[in-house]
Amino acid sequence: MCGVGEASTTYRSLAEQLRGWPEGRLVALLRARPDLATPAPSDSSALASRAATRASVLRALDLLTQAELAGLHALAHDAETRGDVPAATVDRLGALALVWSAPGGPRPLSVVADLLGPPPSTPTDSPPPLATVEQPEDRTTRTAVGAAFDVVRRVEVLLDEWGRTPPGALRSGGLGVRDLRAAARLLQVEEPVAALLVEVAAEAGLLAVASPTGAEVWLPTGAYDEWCRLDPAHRWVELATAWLRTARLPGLVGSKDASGRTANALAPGLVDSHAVDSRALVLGTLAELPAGLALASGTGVPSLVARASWLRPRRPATQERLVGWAVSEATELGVLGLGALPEAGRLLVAGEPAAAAAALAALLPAPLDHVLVQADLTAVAPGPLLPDLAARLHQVADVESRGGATVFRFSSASVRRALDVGWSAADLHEFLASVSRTPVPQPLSYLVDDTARTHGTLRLGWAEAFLRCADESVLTALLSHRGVEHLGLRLIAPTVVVSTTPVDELLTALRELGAAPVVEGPDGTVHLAAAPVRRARTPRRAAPGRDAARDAAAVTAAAASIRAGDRAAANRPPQLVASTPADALAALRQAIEAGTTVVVGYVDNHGVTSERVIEPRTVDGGQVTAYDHRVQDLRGLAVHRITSVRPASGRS
Amino acid sequence: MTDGPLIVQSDKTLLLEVDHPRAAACRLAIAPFAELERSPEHVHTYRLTPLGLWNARAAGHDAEQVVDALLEHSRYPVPHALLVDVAETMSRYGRLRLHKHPAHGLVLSSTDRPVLEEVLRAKRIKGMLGERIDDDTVAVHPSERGNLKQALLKLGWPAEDWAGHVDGEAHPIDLDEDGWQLRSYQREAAEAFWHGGSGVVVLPCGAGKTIVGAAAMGRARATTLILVTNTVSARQWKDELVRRTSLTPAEIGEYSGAVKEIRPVTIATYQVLTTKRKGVHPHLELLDARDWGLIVYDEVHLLPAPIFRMTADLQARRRLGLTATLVREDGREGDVFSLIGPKRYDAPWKDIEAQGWIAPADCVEVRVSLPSAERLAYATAEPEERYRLAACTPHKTDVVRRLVKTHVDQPTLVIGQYIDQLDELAAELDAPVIKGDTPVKERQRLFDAFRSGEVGLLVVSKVANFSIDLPSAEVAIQVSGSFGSRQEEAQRLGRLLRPKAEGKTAHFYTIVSRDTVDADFAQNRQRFLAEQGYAYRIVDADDLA
Repeated sequence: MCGVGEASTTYRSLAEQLRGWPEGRLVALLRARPDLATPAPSDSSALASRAATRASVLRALDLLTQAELAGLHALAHDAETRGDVPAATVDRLGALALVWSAPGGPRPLSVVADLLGPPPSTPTDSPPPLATVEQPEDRTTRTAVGAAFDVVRRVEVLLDEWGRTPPGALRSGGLGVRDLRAAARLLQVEEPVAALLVEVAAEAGLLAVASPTGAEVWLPTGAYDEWCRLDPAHRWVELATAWLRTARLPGLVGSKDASGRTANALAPGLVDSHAVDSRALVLGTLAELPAGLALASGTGVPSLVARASWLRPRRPATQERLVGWAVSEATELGVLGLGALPEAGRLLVAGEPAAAAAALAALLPAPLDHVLVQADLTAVAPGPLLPDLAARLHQVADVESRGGATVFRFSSASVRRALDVGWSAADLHEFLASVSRTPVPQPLSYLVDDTARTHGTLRLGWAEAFLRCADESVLTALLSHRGVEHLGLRLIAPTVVVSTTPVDELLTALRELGAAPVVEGPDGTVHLAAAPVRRARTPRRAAPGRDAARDAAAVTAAAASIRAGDRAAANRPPQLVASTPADALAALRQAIEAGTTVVVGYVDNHGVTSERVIEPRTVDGGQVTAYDHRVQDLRGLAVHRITSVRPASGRS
Repeated sequence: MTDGPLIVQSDKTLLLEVDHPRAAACRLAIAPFAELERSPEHVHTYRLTPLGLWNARAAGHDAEQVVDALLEHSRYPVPHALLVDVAETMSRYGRLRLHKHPAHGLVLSSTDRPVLEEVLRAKRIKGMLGERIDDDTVAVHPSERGNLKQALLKLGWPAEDWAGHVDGEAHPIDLDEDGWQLRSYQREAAEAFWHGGSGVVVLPCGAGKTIVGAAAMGRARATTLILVTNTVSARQWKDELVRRTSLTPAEIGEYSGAVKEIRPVTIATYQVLTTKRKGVHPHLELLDARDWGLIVYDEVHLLPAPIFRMTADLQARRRLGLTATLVREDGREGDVFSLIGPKRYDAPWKDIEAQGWIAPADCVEVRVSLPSAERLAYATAEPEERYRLAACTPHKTDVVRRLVKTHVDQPTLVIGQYIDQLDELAAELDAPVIKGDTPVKERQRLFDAFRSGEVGLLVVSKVANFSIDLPSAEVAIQVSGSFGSRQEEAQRLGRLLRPKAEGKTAHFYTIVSRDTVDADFAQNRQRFLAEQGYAYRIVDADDLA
């Protein structure tokens, strides 16, 4: 690695150094500081310039550990200890383009010194230790798998329910407190867990706001149907990935903000830009624990908080709760189990969702094709059921208890429901015999027959009008009359005819046929419609897997474009004068870093262009602060008034 | 994933697959802390409740044992939240303790000061406590010992009662194991009770709860007050005690509506104790009439509310509760826990049956169709009249006659609720009838005749439901019953579950009218019996052999 730590190679500027970097190193930089890559810089000068902007440097400083920050301090401010900074630290700072190899040794970007603030009071070179306990690996894995299985099952139960009876969307966009409470009850979990599941489902694109009947409601999306077709392991990967990548904070749901308003689940604004990095930090740290060690249950989280504040000392105080939430949410979602990262979680964090799904799938119980039917009219599925079988059981029985197993209860109401959707008694008998591993108990067979016996003895149908007449012959005569075919008449009893023709039309038609009917009482039509299962449109969102690939491609493309720009610049005749605003800024930043003097063309207040010889010190807020040789003092120049920048010749 | 027999559900039910090779081991492991809710043929359902977990703590089990049992036997990973909840709930028991302070008498103390502070601030507890003795101890008015335990349980911090019992007035009582022997579970139950101090023993009808009571008295060897549900039951207790122990009839008194005797062993009915005259309970002095060393509560699940209040004042005496079920229709299981004591012993019905103590029962529901005239009458009847109309259809009589004929050589009970119907049946079948207005003496005579085999068929009303021992009954035919109460069902089945010679099968018939509320109530019955693991069949009256 040709780091800045090697004293042998020095450069005149950061841009020059970047130009000399191999492509792999450039890609690593763009990956570590993604803000440098969007939009792709035109060449190394532009990249160096962008890397020295305050906003970007602040972000980069955020990524430093306490030891690295201390090293940077020494390099920037402390001439005595700068030699003591470990080479690895210098390398790391160099890799982030915060420090470059100047002729006098590694030198931090000048803007860094401004932004660093006071030195850390008690710099510690090594990270604080984690509080860990020994925890057998199979136990942690089992716990995580159990949680993963539960999460998938609960999301499915909840969204199925919401597909039938969707909860309203608040005017502010969130989910009402009462609906969240109902969801928690349905899922038999605490409200914070329900909030997490709802948030994750929405982030995974399975849940969105729609207004199928006017009012806005939360509905499962079309993507939910696709998700349901995946196997449980892949379903879990979708949810866990959505959680890893969201900046939202489900942990805030239910808390009160400064003005005393309670935060609703799914409400906009519950975000923190550090959330994603905090999760990555927590999981990355736990991924380094050797097998068989797990985070201790009581003292583990505080020690992890201490570790996190060593790794990211510049983060705001909210980092503490972000770390806590990351651990509790990861445990709830099955990414963690008893404080250790199982294989599936490890692979997921490493960005290998397919492998994570495969690792999880191997541990999940295989779906069953049978149930145990009992004389108390219950059927117990002692594990997950094949989706098709589960769907059919849901039609004929009610769920009484959920978990690793499902307990179904048959009742005359549930059997009637099955008959209503087209099952026959024979179908039911056959189905029960085929899914029951043991003989079907006699009371259940009896229940089916007894319910079927009375099913359908009452008939109803649609009619627009009825005709009744005490004299049966009148109706018989009417039905045999020519010209009544289009009236949709049907004899349903010797003295009653129904018609599909509305009363007023029928009245006219019958009068035309010579009959003399009178209208009797108010008419009524019955509409029977099962509540349709509704869906919202899937919000446009790139699939998480594709995102990662796209990010990688974008970084590589940006690196390639920088190199192309560099080659073009190299092939151009040396052009000393920077005349575009971007070039001018790059040249100014370069001069700041190199501490050189430049000649700038400057338009003053009167529109007069003049040339000034200056030593730029900082660029900030559209203002260059520079030592002006003419007035022999610091002066501020507006960047937009600088027309050109060229190196001052004759000064070494 | 392991291949364990247990599945832990997120609603805190535990499903145990009984045909699994390791089911027996698992049952032993979870029985101390989980309550058996249903035991149909393939999968038994247990439930984790705070009371159940505290019962386990009281019996000396700790959370680690519970968690290990769940993890060891569970087929699928156990939800982490549930394990945390179990540990948390169990750790609540015993943070507070009642005990005797050498200087201050009865005190409440805690090893966990915040808990003590929390309960001291609870409104309903304030009046029960005296002065604060030190940071961790506060005095308790001795009269509030029971009320305080009740209130603390409601707050979710059940207290351990270490304050001990008075010995009471000594009285020699020994088991007289001549020609019979204490069964192993009866001995275990009595031992478990004695070591626990006070508490409840749960055994099914017919498993010999009376003998467990006698065994406990043999341990206490002190004057004993026995509270039972009714007079007939009181006489049975007396007979049984004379037969099984060294007690003579002269040592045993009956304190009921008819007789008021107070002897070293006194058997009183709930009814006489709860009788009120001019707003006071005139017979309360019975509780203080002697220095009782042991108080036995028969059928704890039926204990009337006023007795709970009286029991709150008896906390210094040893209390033994006997019952077939801890489930109370009024949901006051918590009061049983805090006032009588935690569960000390139980065994599932089916287990005892398998050991051969109880006759297996064959439960059959016979459905009769009402003719259309009666159906019309039923459909147009007032709602409150409907059950009576459906239950008392004359068509049932015919079915009863046929059933009696089928079982002609077996002692048979016909059980019903409506007097008219019973009289009609008795006349039709030419059998004696026992109703509410039958004098106790006449009842006793008929029951004795039935036991001896002189009378082979009895028609009885619901007065026969409770605690009358008819071990010879082999067939019961139920024609009407009050609204399908589970408790009543347990009692009726209990009539039949008394031990039978050479493993005969008992038959339990229920006759119901199809498509009426009668059939709806029958559904509760069916569910209850099936949940208890009994074979249950439904047949049409026309298909009856």
